[in-house]
Amino acid sequence: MKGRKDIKVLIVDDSNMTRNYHAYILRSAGFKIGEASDGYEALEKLLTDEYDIVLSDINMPRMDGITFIKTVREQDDEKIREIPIIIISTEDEAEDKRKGFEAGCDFYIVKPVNPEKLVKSIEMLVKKRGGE
Amino acid sequence: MEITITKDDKSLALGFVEESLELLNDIEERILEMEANYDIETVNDIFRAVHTIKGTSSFLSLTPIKNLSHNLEFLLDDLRKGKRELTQEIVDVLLKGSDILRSLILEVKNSVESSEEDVILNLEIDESIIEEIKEVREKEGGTSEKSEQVKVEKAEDKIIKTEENLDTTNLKNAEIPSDMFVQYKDEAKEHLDNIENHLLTLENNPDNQDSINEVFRSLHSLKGNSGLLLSLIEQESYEAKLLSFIKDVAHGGESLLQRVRDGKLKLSSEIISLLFRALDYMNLIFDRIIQRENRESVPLPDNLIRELSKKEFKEEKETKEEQKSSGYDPVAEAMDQFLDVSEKLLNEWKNKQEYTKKDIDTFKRIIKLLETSTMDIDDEELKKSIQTVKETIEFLEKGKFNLKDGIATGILEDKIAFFKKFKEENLGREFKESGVKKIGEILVEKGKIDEKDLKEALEEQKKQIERAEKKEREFKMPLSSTQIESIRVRMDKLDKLMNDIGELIISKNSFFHIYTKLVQANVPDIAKEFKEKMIMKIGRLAEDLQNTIVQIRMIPVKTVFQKFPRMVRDLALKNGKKIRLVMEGEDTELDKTVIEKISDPLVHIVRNSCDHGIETPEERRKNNKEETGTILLKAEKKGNNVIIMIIDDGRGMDIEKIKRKAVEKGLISEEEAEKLSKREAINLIFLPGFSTADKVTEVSGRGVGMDVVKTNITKLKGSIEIETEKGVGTTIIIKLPLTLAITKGLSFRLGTEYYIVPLENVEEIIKIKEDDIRFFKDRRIVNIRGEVIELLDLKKNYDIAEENIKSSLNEDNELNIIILKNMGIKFGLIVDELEEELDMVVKPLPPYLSSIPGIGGSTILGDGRVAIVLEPSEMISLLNS
Repeated sequence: MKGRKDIKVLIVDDSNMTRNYHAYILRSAGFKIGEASDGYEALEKLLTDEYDIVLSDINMPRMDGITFIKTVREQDDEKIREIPIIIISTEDEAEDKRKGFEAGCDFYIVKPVNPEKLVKSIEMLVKKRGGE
Repeated sequence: MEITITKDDKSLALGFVEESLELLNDIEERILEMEANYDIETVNDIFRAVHTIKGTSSFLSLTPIKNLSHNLEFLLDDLRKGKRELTQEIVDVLLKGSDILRSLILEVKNSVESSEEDVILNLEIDESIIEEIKEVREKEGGTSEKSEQVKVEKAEDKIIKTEENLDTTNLKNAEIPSDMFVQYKDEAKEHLDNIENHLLTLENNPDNQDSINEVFRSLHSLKGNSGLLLSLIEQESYEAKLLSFIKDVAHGGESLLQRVRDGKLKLSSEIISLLFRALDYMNLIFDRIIQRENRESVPLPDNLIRELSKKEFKEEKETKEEQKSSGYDPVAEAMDQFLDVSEKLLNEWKNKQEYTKKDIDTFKRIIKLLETSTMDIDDEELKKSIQTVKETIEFLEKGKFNLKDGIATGILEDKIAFFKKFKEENLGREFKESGVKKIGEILVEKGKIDEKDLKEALEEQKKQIERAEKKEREFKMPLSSTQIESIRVRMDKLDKLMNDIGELIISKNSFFHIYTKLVQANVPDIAKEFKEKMIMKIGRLAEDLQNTIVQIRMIPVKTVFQKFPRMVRDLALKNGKKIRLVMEGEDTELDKTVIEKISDPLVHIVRNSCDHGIETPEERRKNNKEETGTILLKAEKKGNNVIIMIIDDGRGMDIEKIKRKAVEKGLISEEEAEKLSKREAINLIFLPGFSTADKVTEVSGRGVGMDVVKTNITKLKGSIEIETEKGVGTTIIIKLPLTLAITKGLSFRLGTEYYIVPLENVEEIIKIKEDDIRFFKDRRIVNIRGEVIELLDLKKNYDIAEENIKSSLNEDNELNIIILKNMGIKFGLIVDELEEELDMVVKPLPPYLSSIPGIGGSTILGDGRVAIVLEPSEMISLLNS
């Protein structure tokens, strides 16, 4: 299994503060971090750089989280297409979660994020992917 | 204190700076709002903002910022809990505190931006502000101090059941050698901060060996230093007691961590909170040591020490936790998500009696999540159930099942019920309750807040996030399809771009000349093509570019305006006046350079209005005016200019007094003073060395007079005008160009030379008969529609040609006159031939030319000729020469 320092997380959120907060949590937990401020930028990053997992917000300018996830799931490159994606959103309704999974996310976390929850969820999903 | 910000932390630091400055603006605004209209919501808002700054600054170990905001937070907390009423003093302290915070944050900003590498900050805070806050909090019978004590006791009472208080009265004062003491103080503070920072890290990541070692090292040093100091002073003294408390607690913490380092204990949340408790205790004692006069009783550390050295204390609980894997469990979370989504889908299917391909995919996805998250759980029935759900969905997909007979939904419902039960029995409760505590729980544990507060705070936090996100969405909505994120661009790069675009615009002017030549050369086809392909296309592109770059550099005047409420408030207080400040058009945008340079002049003018303009309440009452004076600060866009007006309803300017003053100061002679028009007299205040104030007050009349204001505004290619009515008020109108780099001008010929005047100064262009000119001494004067206007013949002033004025006459014996207006004074310029209106980028002249009065710079015309750009504000001086 990969150690935390080998796991590179892409944080996608249009709020600077949120991105910084998540980056702070993950960096102090030992992960490697990349950041993007919307789906479009995130897609560019995924295509140019290798990541192990993506944390994505839903409401973002230019390209929102749902469109972003759908687009990722349509990529030709299997490595990108199958990347685990966690939605991090303020919406807590079952309908929102459903929309997320429908688009193709692997996990759904409601803001504000509990640091441990975030770290463990990432580890679970990356482990899961490695195990397949 | 020295703080290192590493390269990696820089973006975090800059984010902190940006956000904190925004918060501070908000804080200041709200403090003033609170002063005007006390509302507990406002206090809460300020509290939250200060709290955020505290939180983020501690991320970055910016201890001085954290400490100050922490203290402000205490004061605000007193307010919102109703322990204290809002007084003038509190408002002042809060404002002062926020000012200091701002300067500290700006210091961080400057250092971080100064270099690409790691930077070492030397943040110093004037401790007096913290003293002031404490003083304010201790006023009125020291209720807050008492409650503070209660709080501390509450925090400790779990462990210090048999609370004994240290009797301070019998203890002798001991002299701690002062240099040793200073050294001890500095180091201890550092260690305490270090412990806090690393404990925070450990809270998120208990396995971080570096942090464990850091906390250990700091505890060890604290113990050692305290012991050393202790050996130097009288053992029975109050200080000695306190020192020994720190020493003992540090020792307890150190031994506990040693057990962790030896692998005998796992660093659980309980141990971390215990260490936090020890830290809080040491901080408390440390504060007491520093405030040497403050002989308040302190709780004894005995129970805390007992707790720290407890043998049995963790082991059994530890193993239990380990079995269940400590802390939060994503399996339960995954199960929740599966249940949420599957129930949702199932309900829909039952209602509609149909499903889509998408639904099936979604279902498969959540099954996969369930399957993989429960991979490590060894439970036959669980595994079987997951398999059943999987097959059911596959059957549905292949059409082997349908929804009508209800078999599939029946199976799914059955299994969902099983998962629910499984979760409750095996996952739910334990995982929810065990494990690493949320920060809120720790706070409750430490007695910092009670559970009710915590719930309220969490609710509030959620609401706040929702509000913020909603706001953000609203804000972004109209822009959603364009680029929203901002990037930092260095100003000089923008200047360069602006300059280049300016040059492009000028080159564009030359196209017309080429076009004319082509037409003259009788090649109409080429001329037409050139016009369409070059002039139209490139012309439009160039204009687009110009508009865009102008837009990029625009920022709202709000950035300047927002400092005024505070300033006016302070000045009003100081002068014993009542002043209301009204601002309009804060969203009007101006070029960034203009904004930066207009700030000081505006400050000066507003200060003048407060100091000299608005009268004291008594004086206003006497004159049948409302006691509260009003200053209106207004910005609006008019064409290519932005007009900023500062209007007050004060006493207005006394023309006679201004004249007298100017004569007294030897700026003009008494004769000259007689001849001056009202407007000319008012403009005297723009002369260097003029001040109308009888007494020099703290803020205005410091020698930086209106002349500097005028110079600055002129530099910005703007103009300033004053209208005043004695007893009624003063209006100052500042006219600024939207942007600096590209201006419009009117070119004309004078002899063989070409000149340009800024278009914004051009009032009108007229033709007059030579006979209409009257001579008054040396001056040429003309009456235009009843208005007497002096004419300026530049040929004379600049010795341009030998030709006399007659050469300027056209066939009808008429003269071309450009009427210019600057600072309210109109004058006419006699020109030979008017040329065209054009865009120009004004280049400065070499020093030996720029000293000639009336000349502002030069520019290149479309056909490559050089033209002199005239400066109307300087030309006025030519009139009188």
